[in-house]
Amino acid sequence: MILKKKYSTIQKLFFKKRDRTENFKFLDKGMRVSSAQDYTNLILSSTFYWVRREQLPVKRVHEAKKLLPAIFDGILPDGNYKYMAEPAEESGWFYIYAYDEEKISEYLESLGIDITKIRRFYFIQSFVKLIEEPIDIGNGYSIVNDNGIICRLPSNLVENSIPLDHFLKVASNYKATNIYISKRLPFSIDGRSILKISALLSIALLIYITEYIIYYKTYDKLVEKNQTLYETYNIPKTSYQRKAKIKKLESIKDEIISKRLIFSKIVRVPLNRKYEFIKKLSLSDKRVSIEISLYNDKNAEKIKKYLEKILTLKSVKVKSKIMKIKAEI
Amino acid sequence: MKQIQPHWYLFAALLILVPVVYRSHTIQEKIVETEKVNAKLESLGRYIKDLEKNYNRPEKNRKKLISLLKRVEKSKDIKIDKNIKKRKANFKIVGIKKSDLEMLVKGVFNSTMRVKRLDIDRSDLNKTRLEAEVIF
Repeated sequence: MILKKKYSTIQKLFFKKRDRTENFKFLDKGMRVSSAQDYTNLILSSTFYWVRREQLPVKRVHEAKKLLPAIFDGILPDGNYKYMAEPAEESGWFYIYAYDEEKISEYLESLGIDITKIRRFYFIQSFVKLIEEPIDIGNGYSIVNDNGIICRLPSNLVENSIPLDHFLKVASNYKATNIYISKRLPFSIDGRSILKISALLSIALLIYITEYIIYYKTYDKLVEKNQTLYETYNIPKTSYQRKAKIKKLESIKDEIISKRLIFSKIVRVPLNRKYEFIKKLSLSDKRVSIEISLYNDKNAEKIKKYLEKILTLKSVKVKSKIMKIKAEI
Repeated sequence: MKQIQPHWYLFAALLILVPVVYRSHTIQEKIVETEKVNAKLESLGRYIKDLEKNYNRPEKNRKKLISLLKRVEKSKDIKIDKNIKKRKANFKIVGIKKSDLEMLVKGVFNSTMRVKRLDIDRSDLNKTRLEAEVIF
């Protein structure tokens, strides 16, 4: 059951087929519209658009569309127009339309019609083939086919008109060209302004893409430099290896410097150089032993004080003018 | 007939612009980060290179010790017992002159050799004995 429901929802969402039983509604300016929107297609009367029947030197609709702004130029009052063309019965002839989408949508919204709920919009002109007799639209007007152009006339000038409902029933089974009318934005930006903003955004987009490409190249170079640095300086890849290498080199450096310093200080021990000298000197990793031949025992204390500053003295012995010192670094 | 509405252009432009701006921003951050890493690596590399240059030159130290011992060998009445390997050496000199002793010890300590053991015995001033073990 659940699966069936889901399947039908998916079908509704993606495979919308034109439902022949859809409701059609006709709208003319000044007509009353019921508040409950129980229709899905709206046919707009000739008061919403300008139409002409023209022979154009083109065969296809999209080619004809390019010519329309020039054809309507100077004829229409000021406005933001959209153009549409559809082929007439004879080859090379077209019905050409100009309409102000903004004004139509504004009018529909003023009547309380929710545009988003209307599936398709049509112009009554697109149903010209169905309209042979006048149709009474009920607001004191009738629509008539005047040599292929649908016009609106006061009903008292027209005879033998058929009711609108009858026409709508027939129209629901007729395949006519529809137009697109979008919902107006809550803020007042017209289509052209949106296009201008879009164009500006596109320029910004181009700038950003160029910037991105430049940055990407710079980044690529930096990554290459990073690799080169590892190779040039022979730097180990991991931080653990790097730390170990630095620690090893620094310990060698410290050992060399400290031993050099200690040795130079031992050699500079305050002796009476005329009579006294270092007899034996033994220096290893951590131990130092020194034997000094003294002139007399008095100088021993001075030497001891001096060596105390450099080394950790373990034993100091003075015997027969020989001073024996054992110390640690 | 359906037409592409202007707001779709706006939507499309924004749809592409937003990720491009985001990526551009991200790559800028990456550039700054990589630049920092590179600067750090360069200084670290220089430091390691300097340490290696100053304190890890076994071949140079080996040559220096050989030349120092050769100079000492020239003196008369001297007895040298040396064992020089690739990474370390030990030697014993008996009867070294005071000037040669100074020269040898200064040479060893001024280089980047690591002195593991050094014994100087001047009990008999005519037969000064020097024993040392160094690592290059």
